[in-house]
Amino acid sequence: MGWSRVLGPGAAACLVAGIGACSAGAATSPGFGPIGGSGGSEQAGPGLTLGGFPSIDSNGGDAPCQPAVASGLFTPSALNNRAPARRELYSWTTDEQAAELRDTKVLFSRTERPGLGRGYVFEALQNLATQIAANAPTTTDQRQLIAVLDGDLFAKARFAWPEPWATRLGWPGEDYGGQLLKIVLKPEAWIVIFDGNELSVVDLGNAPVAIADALAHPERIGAIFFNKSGFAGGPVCNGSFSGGSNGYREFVLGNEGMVEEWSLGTEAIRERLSADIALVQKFLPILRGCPVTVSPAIWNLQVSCGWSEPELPITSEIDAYQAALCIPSANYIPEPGPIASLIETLQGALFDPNPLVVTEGAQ
Amino acid sequence: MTRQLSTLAGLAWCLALAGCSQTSEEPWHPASTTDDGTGSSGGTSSVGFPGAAGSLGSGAPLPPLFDGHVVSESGAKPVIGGTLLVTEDGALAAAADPDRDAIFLVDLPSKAVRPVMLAAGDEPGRLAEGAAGTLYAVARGSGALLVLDIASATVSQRVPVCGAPRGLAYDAATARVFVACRSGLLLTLDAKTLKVTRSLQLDPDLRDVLVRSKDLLVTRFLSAEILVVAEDGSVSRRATPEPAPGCAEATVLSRALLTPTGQLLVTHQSSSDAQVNITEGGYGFSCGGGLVTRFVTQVNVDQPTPVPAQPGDDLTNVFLGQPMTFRYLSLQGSGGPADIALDRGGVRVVVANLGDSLRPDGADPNGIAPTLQTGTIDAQGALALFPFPSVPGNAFGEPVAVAFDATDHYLLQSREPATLFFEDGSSVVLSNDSRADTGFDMFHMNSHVGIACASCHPEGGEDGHTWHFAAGLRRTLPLQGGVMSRAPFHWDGTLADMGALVTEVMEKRMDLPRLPSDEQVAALGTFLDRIPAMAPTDGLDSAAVARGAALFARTDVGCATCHSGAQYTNNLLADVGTGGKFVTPSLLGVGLRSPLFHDGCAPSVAERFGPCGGSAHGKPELLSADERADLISFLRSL
Repeated sequence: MGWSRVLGPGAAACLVAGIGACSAGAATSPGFGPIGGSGGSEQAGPGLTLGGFPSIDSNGGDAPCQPAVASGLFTPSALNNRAPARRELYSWTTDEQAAELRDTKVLFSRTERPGLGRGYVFEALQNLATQIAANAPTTTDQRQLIAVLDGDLFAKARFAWPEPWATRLGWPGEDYGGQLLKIVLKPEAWIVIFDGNELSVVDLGNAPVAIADALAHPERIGAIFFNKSGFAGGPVCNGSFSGGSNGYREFVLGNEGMVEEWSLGTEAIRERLSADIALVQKFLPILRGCPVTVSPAIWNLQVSCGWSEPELPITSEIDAYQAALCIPSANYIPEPGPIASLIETLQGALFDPNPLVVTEGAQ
Repeated sequence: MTRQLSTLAGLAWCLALAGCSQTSEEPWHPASTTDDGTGSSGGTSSVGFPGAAGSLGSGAPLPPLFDGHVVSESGAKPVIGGTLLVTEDGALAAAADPDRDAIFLVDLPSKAVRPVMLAAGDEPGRLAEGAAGTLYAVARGSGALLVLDIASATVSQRVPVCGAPRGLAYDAATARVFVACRSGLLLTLDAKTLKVTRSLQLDPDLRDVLVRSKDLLVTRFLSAEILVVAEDGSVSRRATPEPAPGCAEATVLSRALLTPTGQLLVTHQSSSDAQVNITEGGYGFSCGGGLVTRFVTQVNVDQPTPVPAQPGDDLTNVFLGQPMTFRYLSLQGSGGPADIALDRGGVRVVVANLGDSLRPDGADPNGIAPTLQTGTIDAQGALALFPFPSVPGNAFGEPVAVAFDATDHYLLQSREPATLFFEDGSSVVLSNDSRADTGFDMFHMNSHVGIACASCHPEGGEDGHTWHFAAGLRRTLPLQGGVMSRAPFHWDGTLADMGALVTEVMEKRMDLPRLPSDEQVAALGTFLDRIPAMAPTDGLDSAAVARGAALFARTDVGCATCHSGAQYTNNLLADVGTGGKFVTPSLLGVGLRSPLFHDGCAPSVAERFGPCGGSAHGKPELLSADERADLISFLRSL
């Protein structure tokens, strides 16, 4: 199966030898240690079966299920980290913030989330700047671009994704709100791609833009596409043992000058939401015949590592779904419970239109 | 019946533990009083292991399970644990015995025993000490709160409380009694009048309730959730233990104790969310490839960990919840139910396991092998248990509960023989009325790879867990209410009868080294079939239930077409648009079962009518919203 990931020999040995060889703190001797937290800090534990639907002795009638081939539901939404640029983005927000938006008509007003800082992407940018300063001080263009992104341009930010359904549930224990914002970038906007290791710039057609050009015209940077890879403390792909915390990706918006239009409560947004509900409703019965059968942590590893493959490994409908995700949390694991919950949550976000459309210069 | 085994998995387990080098010939069950001499019809055939270690000692074929002994006793019930109490003054031990519908009062200085015989089916569970001379007990089977007069060894009052009372606590400061019910009701009773002064509807499947100075701690059984209930009745905090990296979600929180500092000590399981291996021994081992591991976890409910800035927070400005802090110890190899006790100083801990195979003497693990572990909590709060059982197996019969006395020495309650054992080696017989039962033993024993039937079917029910099989998600099916009428077994209906189930699951996947005879398999079936149905949801509107029953029976709606008969199933495969053909599940107990469907799609009966319901699952679209509510009421009454 496309998104299956191959572990190194150490993991296989772990499975054979049982607990003693696998888990340093799990069950070997008396003593205790700290327990992993929720969501993003969860470790992808070693020793778990990875990927795909391996052939298992079916004595007893439990024949392995066969995943449905990709039928085109999610394929149009698949997003490869190597070509992420999108012009139309969506962001969920709370009732309180929606009221504030309607009142002020100002899209970017928050410098940080209460108690949580600016966001991990900025921490990762600063980490990279530190590493470059220590190890490659001559790499000035990357450092300068980091300074731009970490400066006023994105001082007030909002996080977004092209697919509304893919962010509504988020990480377990979090709620981003049930009001959906649509944000359209200007056609000339550039996107900075950042994976924790290096920065690159593309236009909205995903054509490369020289960093020197971006430094010369920072006002054209419309978004940061951040992929939390192993370089940024995310999942380590292709290692003998999995490690790192959960992977995810996001668009960071903050440059109002590159926003052509944003809207709230429009008929178009409602139609988009209805289309998303119909999409996920079609996915559920497909999924129930052959759900993912790995743990959420391992699934996160598989999915987030697959995003950066040269070509997205899509052979089944579940593959396509995974290729469109940005938050591969337990809330989005393609199992019937979470997907049914997603449908119901999206249905709960349907609204009677009360349009607010703000175009450039209207604020 | 020919049963062949492969024990590569068992071999690895043995090697890891270095405890498989010799074979004990000690009797598996010293208190067994019945040996009907039934031989094994097929149990000795084809039993062999690839290598000496695989033979668990000699390499020779092993004798049949329990050496062919078969005994069946109708009073035997799945273990619930937590049935032993020592009064504050240290003068009395009380042992609730659901198998015998009795509570045994033991005068500790003299060790004189006074039985309090209850009504048949009472099934006494948790106990609590009340005002001077009074004990409380919940009757799990009859739904009552019992008040015991210690002096006269009688039940002085019997108060109906709810369909299935579970947790029990007494608050001396306010003279209130708290009863936690499976339905989610948390009742407060005035200790003098025994009137219910408050009824809170919390989440279902409540287990223990513990009194603190300003709030209550309430646990949930299958979800292993801990609720902090404030004085005003609101749930101020909730959390679920996360046992260890590499292990999966916590389930089956069977026992919770309050430490002297007001924190929790709980025993629970962790059920794997890795793909289930159905090859030989595939159900074995623990986190990182197996199915179930048991834990003792300390929970600090008052010290939330700092909320870390999670990557996903980038999309939000809201963070919900306050995680609690946890410390844990795994109970390696523990396959059967466990009970824990803490001494009054909060220093000594004792853990009793039924069906543990971790025995330092390398004795034959294929039997009821109870163990007792002691440990300590140091000044820094660090819990440590001795790595191996401090007392060899079989010394204590079938331990179901533990407690400490006023001198901080432990006591242990054995189900069979009904005996109270003391740390100094002495014991006192509680009853000579035997409840030895081969089905009970098979159900609770560690198959030798660290798992028992009771691991996934605690208390003879189910664990609420949805397993990741290669064939897809499969939610554990319940066993209560006459399971033998529901063959074929498993969601795919591939196991025609109990014999097929034992062969495929116990002998193969659980890697049972000694093979049971047909008679023993039958005894297991008998034991399981006697487990009563669970009490339905409390507080239903009888009129709505009646209306729902009529809707359920309507042929155009179509519920009763497949969910027919006393078990509400026709036992046939059907494709209702939920991802394949599955045996129609019984609806008995469906109102409090969560989640529902083979894949655990619906959290409750109400969600059955949402996206999870399936495209060809009756015609609920014919019902109005009110009618649907009535139908749900009826389903909750089953």
